[in-house]
Amino acid sequence: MPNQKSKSALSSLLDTHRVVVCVGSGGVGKTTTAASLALWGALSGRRTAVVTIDPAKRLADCLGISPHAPDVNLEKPLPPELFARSGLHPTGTLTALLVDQQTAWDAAIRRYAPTPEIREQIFANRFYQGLSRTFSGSHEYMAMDTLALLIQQGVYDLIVVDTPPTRQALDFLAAPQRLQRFLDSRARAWFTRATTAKSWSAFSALNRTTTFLIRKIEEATGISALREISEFFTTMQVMFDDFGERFQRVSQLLMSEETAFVLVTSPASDVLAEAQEFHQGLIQMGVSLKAVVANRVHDEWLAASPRSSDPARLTERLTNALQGPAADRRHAEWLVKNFLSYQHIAREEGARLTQFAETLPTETPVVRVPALPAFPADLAGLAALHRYLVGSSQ
Amino acid sequence: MPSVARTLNPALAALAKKRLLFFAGKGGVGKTTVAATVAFTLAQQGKKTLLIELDDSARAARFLGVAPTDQPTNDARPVSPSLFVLSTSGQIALEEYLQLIIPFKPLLRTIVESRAYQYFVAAAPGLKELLTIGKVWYEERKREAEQPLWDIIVIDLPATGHSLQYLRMPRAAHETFGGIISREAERIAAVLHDPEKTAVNLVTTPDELPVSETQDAYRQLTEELRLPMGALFINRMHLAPCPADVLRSTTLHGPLSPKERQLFELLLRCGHTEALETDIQTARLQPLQALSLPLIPIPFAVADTADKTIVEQLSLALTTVAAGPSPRTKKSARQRPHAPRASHAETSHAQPEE
Repeated sequence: MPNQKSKSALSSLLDTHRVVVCVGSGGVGKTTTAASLALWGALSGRRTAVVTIDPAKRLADCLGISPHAPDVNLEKPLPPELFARSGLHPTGTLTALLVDQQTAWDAAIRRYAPTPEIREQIFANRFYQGLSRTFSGSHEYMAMDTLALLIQQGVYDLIVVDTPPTRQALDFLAAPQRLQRFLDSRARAWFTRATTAKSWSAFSALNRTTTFLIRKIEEATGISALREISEFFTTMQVMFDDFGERFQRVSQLLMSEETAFVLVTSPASDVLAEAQEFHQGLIQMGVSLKAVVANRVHDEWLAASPRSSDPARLTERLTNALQGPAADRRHAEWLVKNFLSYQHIAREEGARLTQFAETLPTETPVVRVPALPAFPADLAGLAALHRYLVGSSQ
Repeated sequence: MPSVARTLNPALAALAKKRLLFFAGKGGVGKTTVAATVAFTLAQQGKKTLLIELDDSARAARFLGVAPTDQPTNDARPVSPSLFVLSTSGQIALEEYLQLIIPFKPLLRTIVESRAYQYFVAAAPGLKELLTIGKVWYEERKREAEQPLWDIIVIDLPATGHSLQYLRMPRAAHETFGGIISREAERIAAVLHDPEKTAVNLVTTPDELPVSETQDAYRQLTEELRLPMGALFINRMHLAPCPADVLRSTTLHGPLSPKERQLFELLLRCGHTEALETDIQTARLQPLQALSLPLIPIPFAVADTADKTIVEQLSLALTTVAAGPSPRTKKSARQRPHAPRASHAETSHAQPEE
């Protein structure tokens, strides 16, 4: 059982929320952090799911699962043997889910299409194919749908969500409203009118500018954009109400007290600049940040410092003190240079993190995780991070 | 910079002959830094270079010391007489494109602000990617006195998942759409697929996930998209002079004050960690040795400030002093007996620290 005595900010956050959303720039260890937090949930006795909506199958890499068609109904928790192999004995469960753009769209259509005919019609629509296969930007919708389904199923006590890098993560949050607008009944009527009327006269009521634009776009794309799009809307129409309602619910949940947003960052200057922008974005959306995790921090190298910063003198003394295969001036010189570089890095990072922390509300904890040589590629590795993340281990 | 003549890393020299250099990689591997460094280095070699970044964050511009502007612009901004930077996004490119088909400004404004337009853009998300790549192609075709305006264009793509969409769009659009867009997309695709003109480069770090994502991206780029490839840039290489084992069995002896002992122990542990990173990195990079791509290593930069000096420092790793190998190169080669094998190991890996 987790050590109850050293209850940290993050462990109480995990205890008291139903959904934890990890946000932040790419390459800062967000997926790993999300997976480790979810593992903590499972070890503390909660039925936990971790959802990644990143196109790269990173989570699969750290959880030892292979990519699959993400029909979430078929999801099974990780088998106990997998935990036992890493010396872990969870009292809860851990289920990892990957959202793949194409398969998620197809799965959603399969789930919601009222008849096989409509289903096939949608699959055959070029606009649908484009939207789901070739074009980017539709990922967030599907992630939302997966999240909605998980919440609806109600089989998880804790859902940890890993989001795509910064900019897209904000898109992810905005997705419900965007889709809502997109599915707005007036818009639908507008698009579907073209097929029912099958002529431009249907647009006589619309202003001429719009008609002109549509004509220009049709000329340019040759796609008969309207027909393709309106066909898509017509066939999908039956499914929209359900979609919209579910998204609305997810959106409400994300904004509610049941959801905690955790910003994952690194101490690199450009990453922190993005983190700051992201924090501003969250504030604007009316979401409050519950914690910050700073990965890859080098502050352990500041535990002791040389009295004199003269590398030559330090090298001299170290050369005399070394014993063994690397006991020579060349190695000593490198050791000193390497150490001073890392101290330099650590000091700069510390200054930047302090500066960043000053922009946060005082009650927002900033949890630091050191730069680890070996990336946690298994459950034991993810559990090893608990020492830093939640200040305790199983 | 002091005007010491430097020659390009041979792999980079081959890239310098192209017209379009794309840079793709997982988020956070330093793709923007590498693209900016390559653009800077080519410009130093006298090439009139344009660096295009495909989002409006203007990070590459910041790396090169160009202050961000309030107004998103579609014009290249000068960094030096031979280096220009252009930050564009789908939104800007789309409006510029509409400007071409609807030259009347007030009408354009009305359209862009109309609900119908918003719906259309939302409904056809791929259009933005296509038009953004179209913008790159447009810059490639710019001529001044019948000569290309740019000798070379360096493009910083968004993180892999999204960037492949950009490279996929022209061909996909040619197949999906008809009319003008299809014809234009075909012409853009022809340039992208021309190995004389285009090279897609990958950027990674010696970390597990970026390496596996690089393998994936390489497979997609060569097998599915069939695009001409350039080089693989490995950023943030750790460069310890000996294996971790050697440092592990190295200890301290003799009279030492407790404070000094604590310091030296920390110092040894720090060296051991760096050596461990170097060892692990060698093993991790193994699968990438099999790809038929020249590897260009870039050392872990110490000064982590988003300014020009980083680009200048890293640029040293892509070039060597013209008059024979530099003393630094020799020294660093001797220092790293077990460094990962790179196909252009003779070029400088000089660590730009201090």
